[in-house]
Amino acid sequence: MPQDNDEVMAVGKQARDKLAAQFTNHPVVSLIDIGYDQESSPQIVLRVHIRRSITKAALGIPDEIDGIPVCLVIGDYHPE
Amino acid sequence: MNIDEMTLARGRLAIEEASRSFLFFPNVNLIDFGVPERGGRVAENELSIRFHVQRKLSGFSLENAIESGQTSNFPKYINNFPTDVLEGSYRPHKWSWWNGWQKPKLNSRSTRSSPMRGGISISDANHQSYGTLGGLVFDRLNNDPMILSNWHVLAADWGALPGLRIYQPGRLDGGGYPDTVATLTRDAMSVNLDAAVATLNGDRSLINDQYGLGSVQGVSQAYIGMEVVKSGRRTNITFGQVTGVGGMASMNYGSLNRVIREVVTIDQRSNFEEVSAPGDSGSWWLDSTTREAIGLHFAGSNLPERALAMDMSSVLHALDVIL
Repeated sequence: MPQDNDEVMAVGKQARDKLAAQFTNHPVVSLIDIGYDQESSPQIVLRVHIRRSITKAALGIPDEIDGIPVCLVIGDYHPE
Repeated sequence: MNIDEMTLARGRLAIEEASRSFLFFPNVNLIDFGVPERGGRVAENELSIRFHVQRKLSGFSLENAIESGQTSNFPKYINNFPTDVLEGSYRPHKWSWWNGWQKPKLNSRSTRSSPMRGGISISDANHQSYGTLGGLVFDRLNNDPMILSNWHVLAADWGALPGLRIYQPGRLDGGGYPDTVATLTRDAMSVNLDAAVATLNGDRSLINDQYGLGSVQGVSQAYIGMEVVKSGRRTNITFGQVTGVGGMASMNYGSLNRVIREVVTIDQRSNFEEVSAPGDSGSWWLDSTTREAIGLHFAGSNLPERALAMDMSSVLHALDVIL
């Protein structure tokens, strides 16, 4: 995987901030980060980690923000 | 019972499938892969997907519970494994990361060390627990040597004050007052980072070394795809691959939820590889090639096997310390 392009990451962070402002405190959402789409790399995506299986429509999450696709990832995390 | 890798892999997939559909029903505590019970006895030569429930229900009680959303009818098979239902209630790990009766395995990381180094047991004086001594940093203001680890390892209490004693090894590894090596100095929770530093008291030295990995060669930024390595009290040396950066996590710390920022997500490099476990909190994730520090470990999950760390540069800046 190539090292992330600064400009791409800057756009990604802006989009992440928009998503985080709305969804970080949602009880089902555990983490929002920037990753790669596992199936169609090397495009970056916004990943919304969710504690249980739920659809984007049910969460109210858009398919993309500022041109960056949004995908859901299952993950519930605890301090270790 | 020896289980071949293919069967284990199928079992893991079946657990994931079952978890997605059933784990969040209130009556379900755990879904795992193991030997079922038949007539109250363990059927040693069989394997099943096991639903551990608060209460095993039947008849009208089961119907009512399903109607009220407390539980569900479980399928007889998942991924060709039969299912089994057991009664089992488990205490969550909150401030004490271990159940009192479940003493963790002792190893060379769990003993009193001199000099100290990153990757060994540590705790605050007030909690029967342990985490990982991350490594050596220096106060930018006065160059005092300090321990860098997590807030929930060195303070672990919203009321913790500077001056709190830090033990090496941690209390759950037998540490006590004579093992005081530092005092809590400051933390970064107010800026959404689960990190803290403690100033050494001069009893024992702390060297720039990660147990089994060598010295830390500086700080770097994680990028997606980077292979990383850490040395932790619980799982020793483990590897991972960065799959996410710039994360914001919603974490539960006992009575309060907190958003933790600058999160780096670290996954397995391959199936069956362990990445982290409770007790590894405070470990430093390093670029496996350059040995530069990229993240401070603070959380994780088992299904999927994944670790969360905070960007090391952000942590150092917030705490006003340097390597």
